[in-house]
Amino acid sequence: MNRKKFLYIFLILLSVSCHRSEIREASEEDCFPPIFPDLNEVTIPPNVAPLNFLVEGGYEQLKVELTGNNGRFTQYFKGNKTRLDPSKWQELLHNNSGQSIFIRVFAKEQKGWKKFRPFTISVAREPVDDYLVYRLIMPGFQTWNNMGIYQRQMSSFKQETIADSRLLPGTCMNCHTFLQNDPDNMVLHLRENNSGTVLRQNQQLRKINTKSEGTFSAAGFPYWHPSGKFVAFSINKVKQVFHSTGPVRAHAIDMNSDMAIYDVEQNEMFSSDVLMSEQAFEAFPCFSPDGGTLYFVSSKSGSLPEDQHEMKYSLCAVSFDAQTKKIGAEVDTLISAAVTGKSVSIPRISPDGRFLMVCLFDYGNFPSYNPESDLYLLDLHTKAFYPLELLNSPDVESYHSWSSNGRWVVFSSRRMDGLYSHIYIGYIDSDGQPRKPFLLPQKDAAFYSTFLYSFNLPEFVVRRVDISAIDFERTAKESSAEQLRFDNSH
Amino acid sequence: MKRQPENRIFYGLGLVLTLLSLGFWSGLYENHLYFREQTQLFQFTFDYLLKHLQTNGGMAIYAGEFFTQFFLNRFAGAAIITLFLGLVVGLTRKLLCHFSENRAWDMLAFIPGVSFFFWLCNPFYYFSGVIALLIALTASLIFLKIMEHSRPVSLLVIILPLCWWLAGGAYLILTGIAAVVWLRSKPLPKLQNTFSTRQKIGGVVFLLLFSVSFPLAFRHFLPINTLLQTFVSEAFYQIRVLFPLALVILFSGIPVFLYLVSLLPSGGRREKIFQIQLGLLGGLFLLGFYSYTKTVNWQAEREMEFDYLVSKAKWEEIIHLADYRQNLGPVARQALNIALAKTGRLSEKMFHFSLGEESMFPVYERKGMTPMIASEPFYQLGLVNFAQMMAMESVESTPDGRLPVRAVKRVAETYLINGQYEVAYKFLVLLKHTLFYRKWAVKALTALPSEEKMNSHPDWGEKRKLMPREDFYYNHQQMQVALLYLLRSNAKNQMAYEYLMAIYLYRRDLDGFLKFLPMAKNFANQELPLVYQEALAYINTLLPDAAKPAPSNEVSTAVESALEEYARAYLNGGKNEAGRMKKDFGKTYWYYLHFGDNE
Repeated sequence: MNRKKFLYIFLILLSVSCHRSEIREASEEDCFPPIFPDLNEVTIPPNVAPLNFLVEGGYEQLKVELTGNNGRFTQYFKGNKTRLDPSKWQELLHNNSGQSIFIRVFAKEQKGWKKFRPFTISVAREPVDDYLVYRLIMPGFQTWNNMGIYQRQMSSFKQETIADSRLLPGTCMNCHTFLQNDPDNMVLHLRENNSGTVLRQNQQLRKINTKSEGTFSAAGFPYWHPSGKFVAFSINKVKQVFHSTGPVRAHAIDMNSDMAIYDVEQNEMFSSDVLMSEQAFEAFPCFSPDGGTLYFVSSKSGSLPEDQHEMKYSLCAVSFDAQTKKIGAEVDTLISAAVTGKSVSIPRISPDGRFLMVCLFDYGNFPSYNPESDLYLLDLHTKAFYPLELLNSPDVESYHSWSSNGRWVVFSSRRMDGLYSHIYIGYIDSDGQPRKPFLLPQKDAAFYSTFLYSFNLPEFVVRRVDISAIDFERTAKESSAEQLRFDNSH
Repeated sequence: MKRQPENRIFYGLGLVLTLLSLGFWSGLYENHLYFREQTQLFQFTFDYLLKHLQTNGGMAIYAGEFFTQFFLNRFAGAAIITLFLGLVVGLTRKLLCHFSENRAWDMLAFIPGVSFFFWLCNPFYYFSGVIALLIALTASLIFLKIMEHSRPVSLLVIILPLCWWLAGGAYLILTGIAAVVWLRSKPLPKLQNTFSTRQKIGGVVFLLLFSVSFPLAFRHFLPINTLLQTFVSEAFYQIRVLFPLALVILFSGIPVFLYLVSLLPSGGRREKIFQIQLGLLGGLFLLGFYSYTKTVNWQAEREMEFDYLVSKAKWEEIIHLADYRQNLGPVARQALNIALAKTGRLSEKMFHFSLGEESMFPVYERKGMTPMIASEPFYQLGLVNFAQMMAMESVESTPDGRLPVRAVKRVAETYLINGQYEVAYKFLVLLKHTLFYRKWAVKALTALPSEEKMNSHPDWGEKRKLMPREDFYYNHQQMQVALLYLLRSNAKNQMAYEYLMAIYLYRRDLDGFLKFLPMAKNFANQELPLVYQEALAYINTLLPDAAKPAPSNEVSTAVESALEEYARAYLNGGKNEAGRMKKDFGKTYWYYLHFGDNE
C-alpha cells in the first residue's frame, strides 16, 4: 500500500516537473489569447464571482497566472476552460481593489505550450450590490412554458428561484421592480394564469388587480416613488409583428399607452391629463430620487401598425408632489424626438439624480428587437446627452438599471448572437463616463453557448430577496386580487 | 415442470395479451409511439441525468424518456411497452403471493398492466408512469422480503422517501402495502410477526403521517414544485395541474385488493378456483372494453400517421393514403396539401379531396400546443422565419415544458438557413447528445461555418433560394401576399405558385387567378393543370360572346364537354340537389364554385 502511494506521488511530481519545463519553453504569441467572454480591459467590482473564460481552439491544458500589485495566483486547468478558485479570486480582488490585474494565459496544444500576451482587468473600488434579479425565458414568439424570476448572488454563482413556472404553471411573470434596490419593497406583475400585481412591503405580500374602470388594461412597467408610498405604472396595449425575413424576427408595437400612479396605502390609482393624453402615448415612468419629478417617454399617437416607423418617443418630465398627489400640468421635454429623429425609451435615473440612462433607437418604445438600440446618458446637470460607446454594441442594448451606489449599471444585450439577451455589467464613473463592461460570469465558461434562455430585466438589489417561494405561490394563487380604485378627481 | 391448471389460465392469458400488445403497438397504433418520441429530447449526458435526479420522480422520468426514444422504431417500441407491462404483471403477481396462497387471485395481477396498456394510448400519460409503478412494486417486494425476518420501521423510514424520490406518486402503493402488512401481519403467508391492536393502529397512523409529512417537509425547505406535484411528481401525467383519478384509483386499489385477497380463504376446490378465474377474466375483459372506449382514439392515430409521414417527407405515401381514407382530419388535410404541392400536383388534384383554404396554412392561435406540422407548409414554401416561429411555438407550448425533438430540429434548421449559426449551435448541441439525431447534428455542426456547404445542402440550400428577399409581416388572413413576395423573389417557386392559385380559386377570386395564370407555363409541361382548365372554362362561360378569347388549346375538349355536362345537370334541377351534383361532379372546380360553401 505504502509503495503504491509513493509511486503515485512520484508520478505526480514527475508530471508536474515535466509540465513546468515544457511551459518554460512555451512559444510566445504576440497577441491576446482568443478568449470568451471578452475580458480584456474590462472593469469589475471587487466582489464579483470569478470571471471564468475559455480559450477558443482545441487546447488540451491551460495555465493561468493572475497577478496584481498585491498578490497573485496561478492555476492549471485540463481542457480549454478555466474554473478559477473562488477564494483565491476573492482574495486577489479584495487586495487589489482600485488597481489592475494582469492575466497571462498559457495554452497547450499538440505541438506544445503557447504563451499569450497578458490582458488586464481593472478592479474598481466600489462594490456592486450583493444580488441581481432577472427573469429567464426562452426567446420565443407568443407562447412559453417555462420561465421564472431568479436572484443571483454577485459574489458567487448561486442562483435561487423567486417564482417560476413549476410553482405557477401557465403564469407569465415580469416587471419585477424594487424601490431603490431594496428587496423589501418589490412589485411583480403576473399575467395569464393567476394574473395580478404582487406587491411586497413591510414583509407582507399583497395581490392587486390593477385593471380598473379608469384604465384600458392592467398596469405594467412599474417604478417606485422613493417614499415607498407610490408606484408609477404605464398601461400598454402591446402587439407583436413577425418579420418574414432577416435576423430580426419580431417587433413589439405599443398600440396605445397611458400612465398612472398607484397609491399603495390607499389602494388607489390616479392620473392626469398629461399622463393620459388622447393625443399622445405615454410610457416607462421613472421617479427622480427626490420624488419630485416623474420622467417618462411620450410620442404623438398614430395609426398602428402602419405608422410604427413614425412613432418616435421623446423623454419628458412632469413635477409630482407626494404630499398632495398633484401631478404637474406642464410637460418638460428633455430629449425631443423631433431633434434627435430617434426614439427614447426606458429612462432610468442614477441614485444621485444626476444621470438619466435611456435607450435610443429608430422608432417605437420597445427597444428589445431594434438592433440599432444603444444606451445613452443624459447629464441632468450639464444637459449633455451622449452615447455610452463602451457599453454599446452593433446589436440591441435594452433594459438597464443602476446599482445602489450609482457606479454600476446592468443591462441586457443581444450582442452575442443577435437573439438571446444576456446580462452585462458596466462601470460608470462620477463624471458619467463608462468603462468596458463584462458579461455576467458563470461557473462554466461555455455556459452561454448552450443555454436556451434569455435574461430579462436585470435589477440589482442590496440584499437577498427573502420571500419564501411558497408564500409567493400562495399569494399569486389567491383567487381574488384586491381591486384598486381609480380616482378620477385628478 | 408441470403447471397447475390455474397457472395455465394465467400464463395463457399472459401470452394472448403479450401477442395483442405487440401487434397493437407495432401495427395498429404505432403512430402514437412516433408521436411520443417526437415530444421529448433525451440527452445522453451526465448533466441531464443529474437534472432529473434533482426532482421527485426524476429517476422514473429519466428511465421513461430513455426507453421512449426507442419508440422511433415501432417494433422496438412495441417490445419495450409489452416487456415492461409484462414486468408489471409479474411483480404484481409476486406481491399477490405474499398475501394469498390461492393462485386464483393471480388474475388480479393483470389489472395494473392492462390499465397502463390503455392509458398509454392517451399521449397525456407518460411511459415513465410504468417505470414508476415498477419501482414502487419492486420496493414493496423488497420491503415484504425484509419483513419476513424483522420489523423494519427504520427500513420504511428510508425506503419510503427513496421510493418517493425515484418513483414519485407511486410511493403511495408502498405506503398502502406497508399498512396492509402491518394490519394483517402473521396471517399473511411468509410473515411471522405479530402485532397487538394498539401496535397495528399506531403503525398505520405513523405510516400515513410519515408518508404525508416527508414530501411536505421537503417542499418547505426546497419549494421546487406545486403541492400536487410534490406528492405525485411529473412521471405520470403531462398536465402539471392535474392528476387523473384513474391513477389515484390504481395506487390505492393495489393495496386494497391485496388486503381483501388476504382476508379470503387461501384454499378451495379446483372448480371453485376455476370459477373465480373465469369471473376475474370476465372482469378484466369489461375493464379492457371500458378502457378501450375511453382511451383509444383512432382518429388521432390516423392524424398522427399523416403527421409522421410529413416529418419523413414521404409525399407519395401521403397522397396514396389519402386516396383511400375517408373524412380526413385537419392534420391530414394539411399534410395532403403539402404533399400535393411538393409533388407539383396541387393544381391537378386539389378538388379531388375536400381540402379547403383553411387546410393550407395552420391558424396561429395561442391555445394548446402548436402542432408540429404547423411549421411545415411555411418551411417547404421557403417562408423560413414563419416556419421558425411555428416550430419555436411548438417548443414552447408543450404542456409539460419538455423539448420536442422534432421541433428543436426544425428550429435548428431554420437558424442554419438564416445564417444565425451561433443560435443554431445551441440547438444542434442538444441534438448531438441524443442517440438517434446525433449523426445528423454532428454533420450539421461540421458544416456550420461554411456558407458554401450551406448553399450546396440539398434542403437548406434550396430553402435559401426560395426565401423572400423583401420583408413583410406575418398575417394569417393575407397569406396570398406572402406567396406573392415569394414569387417575386423566386419565380420558379412552384409550390408558392400552386398555393397562390389555390387561394385565388378557393376565394373565387377569378381576377387574381387570371392575372397569374400566364405564369403556369413556367411550371406546366404541356397543358394547363386540370383545375386551371376547369376554372378557365368556367370563366369563358361568363364572358359575352364578343369578348370570348379565340379558341385555344388551353382548355381541353374533355374539360369543355365535362363543363357542358355539368351545366346541363345544374340547370336540370342540380342547382337544388347538391348530393347528386357531388356524386357526379364533386371533384370539379365547378362543384366547389356552386356548392363549396355548403361543405
